[in-house]
Amino acid sequence: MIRRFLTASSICAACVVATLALGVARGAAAVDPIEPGRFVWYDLMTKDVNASKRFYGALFGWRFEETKRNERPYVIARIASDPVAGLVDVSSMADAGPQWLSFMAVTNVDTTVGLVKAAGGKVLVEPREIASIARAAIVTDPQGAPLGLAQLHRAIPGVVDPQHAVASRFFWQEYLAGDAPKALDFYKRLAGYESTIKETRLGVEYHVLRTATLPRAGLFQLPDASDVLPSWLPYVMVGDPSAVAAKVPALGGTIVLPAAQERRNGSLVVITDPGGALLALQKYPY
Amino acid sequence: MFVRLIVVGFVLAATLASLSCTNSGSGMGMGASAPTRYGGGNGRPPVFVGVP
Repeated sequence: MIRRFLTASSICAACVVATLALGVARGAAAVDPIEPGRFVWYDLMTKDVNASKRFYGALFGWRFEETKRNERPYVIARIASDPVAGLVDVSSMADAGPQWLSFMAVTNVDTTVGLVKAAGGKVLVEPREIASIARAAIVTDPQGAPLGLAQLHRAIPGVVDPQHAVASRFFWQEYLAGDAPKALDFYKRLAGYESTIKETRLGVEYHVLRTATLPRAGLFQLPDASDVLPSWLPYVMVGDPSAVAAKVPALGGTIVLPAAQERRNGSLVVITDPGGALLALQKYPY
Repeated sequence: MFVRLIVVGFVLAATLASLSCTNSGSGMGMGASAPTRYGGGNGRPPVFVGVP
């Protein structure tokens, strides 16, 4: 009888904890999870899926699930049960360069693709249904930056907003602009963002792009003759950027920008993975 | 009996919640022929300022 009571009590206690956890998660996700302008997914386009799995598994503790999307192999990276990113083999695609591709939620992907085309962007993948998850497309914006557009049919679990950043998950993105004023104008029209200048340092203005509810991305001007072309740079939250970066060379990646006190209090590191895909790691808040 | 029913209900709910968490219903998986955007350090690096 006592054992039965203890068993029931344990399960009930576990349920209470689970309920509380769900409550916290719900509180954290009070914002519409498919709000237009929110970044909702990240796919790595890689020419060596196994090398990418080894690198990101060792760096972030991600584990991987082999699956398929529209009959093509697709690897989902997870932390515990939450999906955090995807790995796509692009080795057979001409001109495909290794890179992280960020997906922005939109209300209507066909309409948004039309807007991109009218503004001088290009369509790399026409809108198509992705399982029961989304209607999605891949475009390049007028400055040539690749971007995924996703009209989600339902929320993707595990996507976190900046104020709830979790270690080893994406939490932020920045647009590195060839022409910041034109990029601001374009993305305000595309996603309905409002922008504010958060900081000006070294002659560079840092613009924060906001939806009605939250800041969603940063945007700033690249220097002339930069070694980075206009692009979206995704951020993964890490607890100790220098310690994580120290692992990168031995895993086959490179440190592009080491931590420095004058750069966000030493909280930012930019790396490439073994394939050359650029990624920012940051402690947040710092 | 009532306690048993509650326990079975909780366990069932937990199992269903777990199943819904572990499905692979996420991610786009669309590759694209997009050239890389990083030149490998042959030019000037971005000036990272501001937030976050």
